[in-house]
Amino acid sequence: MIRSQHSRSGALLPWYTRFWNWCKQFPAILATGASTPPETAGIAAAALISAAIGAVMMMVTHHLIHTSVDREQFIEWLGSWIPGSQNTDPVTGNIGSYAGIETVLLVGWLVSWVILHDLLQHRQVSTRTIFFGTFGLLVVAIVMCWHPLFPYLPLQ
Amino acid sequence: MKELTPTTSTPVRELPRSADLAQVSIYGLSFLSAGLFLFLPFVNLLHPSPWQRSIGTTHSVAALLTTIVAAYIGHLAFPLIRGTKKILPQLRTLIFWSTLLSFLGIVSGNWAFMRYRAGIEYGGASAWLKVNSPLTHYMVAQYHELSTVFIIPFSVACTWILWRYGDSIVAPEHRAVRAVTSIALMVLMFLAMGGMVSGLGIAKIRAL
Repeated sequence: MIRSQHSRSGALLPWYTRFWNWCKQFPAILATGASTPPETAGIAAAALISAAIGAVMMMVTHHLIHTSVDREQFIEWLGSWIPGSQNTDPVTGNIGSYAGIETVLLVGWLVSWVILHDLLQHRQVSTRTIFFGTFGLLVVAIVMCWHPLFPYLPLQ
Repeated sequence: MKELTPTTSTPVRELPRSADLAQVSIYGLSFLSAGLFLFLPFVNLLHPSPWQRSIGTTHSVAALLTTIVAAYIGHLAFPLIRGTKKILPQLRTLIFWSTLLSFLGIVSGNWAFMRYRAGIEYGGASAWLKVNSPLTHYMVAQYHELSTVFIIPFSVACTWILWRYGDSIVAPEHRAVRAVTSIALMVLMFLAMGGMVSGLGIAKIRAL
């Protein structure tokens, strides 16, 4: 008997419950997890801290492009690979320099992940280091999203 | 001739009729409520703007589904921090689906952002807001544009960690990993909720 299709009393569960249980176990390769888990916290530290580094890099870039036209043009060019970033139709618009700061997040996140993974994968990283390395940086990034805290960012 | 006996017995009817009525009502109302909530993005289809009907509906569907799954996952942070092993298989799969949905939300968001940035002479929402409601642009729209993108790296990180550590994440030696992953799951819920509320707020002031 497949447990997810029957109740504890053995009765067949309703179709929506069976569907939801199926969703929760698909794909099976994810549901079961990796067969050889790591022994240290380094792999988790690298994954989370690099995500926060990407977010901070994106926000620093966002602030930098609002204070220099030259930097904005460079960042706009950097994001030109994203579909819709350079559209010339004024009715449908374009993503503009926002595509560039998305690119900065992507590059900063993935490059720092590779570096940190290599450095930390066999090391036991403390809770405090992961916590402040990840959520300290994330708080900085989120605060930087809110323009009223930064008078030099344009109101209009 | 020997009489055949049924191999399976029919379940004994245990509930009285009034309890049956209550059960049907509860299930019916729960489905109606969930259906109404999921119908929310499709109100965009009634909008006079063709951009809001097409892009707005698409982005709203992706955002609503992302928020629902992220909120469900955020609630699983509580049993995870307590070290409850039985939630791990569903957490590992649902965080993957959340990542996929949030990616669709960002892609559709980029599409919406294109039209949002159109010139004011073409009815662009951003230009209109800067003239008529600059505080919406300043306090809500910028936060929405920027913070929602953070969901992608954090959901990918959580997917990777939860799969890589498997059931061993509830082991005492991985208490640090379990703690920070639980916080990251709640961060995902916070970012998804903030994204949806700010996005709805912008659309309430000016649609695409």
